[in-house]
Amino acid sequence: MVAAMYQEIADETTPEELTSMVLRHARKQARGVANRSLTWLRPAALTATLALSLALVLQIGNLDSTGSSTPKLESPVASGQDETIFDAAAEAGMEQIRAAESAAESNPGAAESLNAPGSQANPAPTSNRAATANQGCSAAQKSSTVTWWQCIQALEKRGMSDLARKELEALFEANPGFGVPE
Amino acid sequence: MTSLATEINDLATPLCARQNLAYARNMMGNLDDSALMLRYRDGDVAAFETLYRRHNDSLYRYLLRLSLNQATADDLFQETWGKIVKARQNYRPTAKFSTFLFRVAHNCFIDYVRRNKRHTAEINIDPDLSATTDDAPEHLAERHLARRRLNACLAKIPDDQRDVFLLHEEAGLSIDEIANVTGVNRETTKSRLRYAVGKLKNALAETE
Repeated sequence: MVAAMYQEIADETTPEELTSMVLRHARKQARGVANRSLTWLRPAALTATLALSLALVLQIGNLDSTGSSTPKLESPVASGQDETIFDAAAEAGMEQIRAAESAAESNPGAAESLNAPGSQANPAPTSNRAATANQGCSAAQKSSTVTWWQCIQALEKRGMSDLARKELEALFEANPGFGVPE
Repeated sequence: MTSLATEINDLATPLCARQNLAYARNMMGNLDDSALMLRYRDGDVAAFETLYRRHNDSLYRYLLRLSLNQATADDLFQETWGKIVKARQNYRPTAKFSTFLFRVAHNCFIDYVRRNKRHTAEINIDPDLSATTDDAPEHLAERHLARRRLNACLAKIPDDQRDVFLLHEEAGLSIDEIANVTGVNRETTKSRLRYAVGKLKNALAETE
């Protein structure tokens, strides 16, 4: 009964001026926190920007001092010998392409002969198709008897008779039924 | 009632669904108080305003009838919310927000009594506080008299019993929560509430 009576009678509300004061104070305090955050944020951002810029300038300076105007890319190649292997492999690829081109040529007197891969010392320039003294026919040329025979003929024409004879022996050994075209 | 609660009530839903909504609203209200306080801690002023409007009237009435002095209640009201605002950085939702709020208010009153040793339960409350011109004159007069009777009866019981009664009726706190707020054990709280209700009942009966 007492509780019911109390609930019925006690219905006062907060005076509006009190509410305004409390909320104004709460807003002011919250702004203070936000402002304090911003106060620290700007100098921190500026410091970070300066530090990053300095690091970048120093990095570029280091690059300039080594004589290179552009940063060197990291290469998986660890030694000069390894570089030669990569060059030789690229050269071999080019030679396969060339062999395919020469196989398509119908003129048996094609003077161009291809460098054989295998030597890892001083690979020939890509523009030079002349066979070197120690190189025979490439694997691409040996892939068919026709191209192999053409390679042998080219070697003979260049005066590499010994090499030509070795290639011919290898041709016969690999292809016992091969007949020299007339 | 909040706009969200009104919106929920306006929905044409089956009874069980309404009951579930009411239960969820009740639970959500308790959970949301702490979440609102945490949001205010992070700078969301609107969250504080929502929280304030949920509890401002009950807190004001508690302080009004605890101190029985309107000016004192106004000061204590501001002081309480000021402490809540200040405490937001270290706020941890370990208990209901209302328990936290009324504990702060209770402590503010205790400090006030200690500062003002001449404090007496002299009634200085306008019985027409919050009255509006929309109220019918007879209703206003009736309420005026009822409030005067209630305030007079409350003034007759000791501060600690009045405190427990108001925490129970205005803050809606349980016995254990009231014990937590006032810093006494559960049995003492129960007996204080029992005495308060008994004395109020007798006092109200005498004034009729």
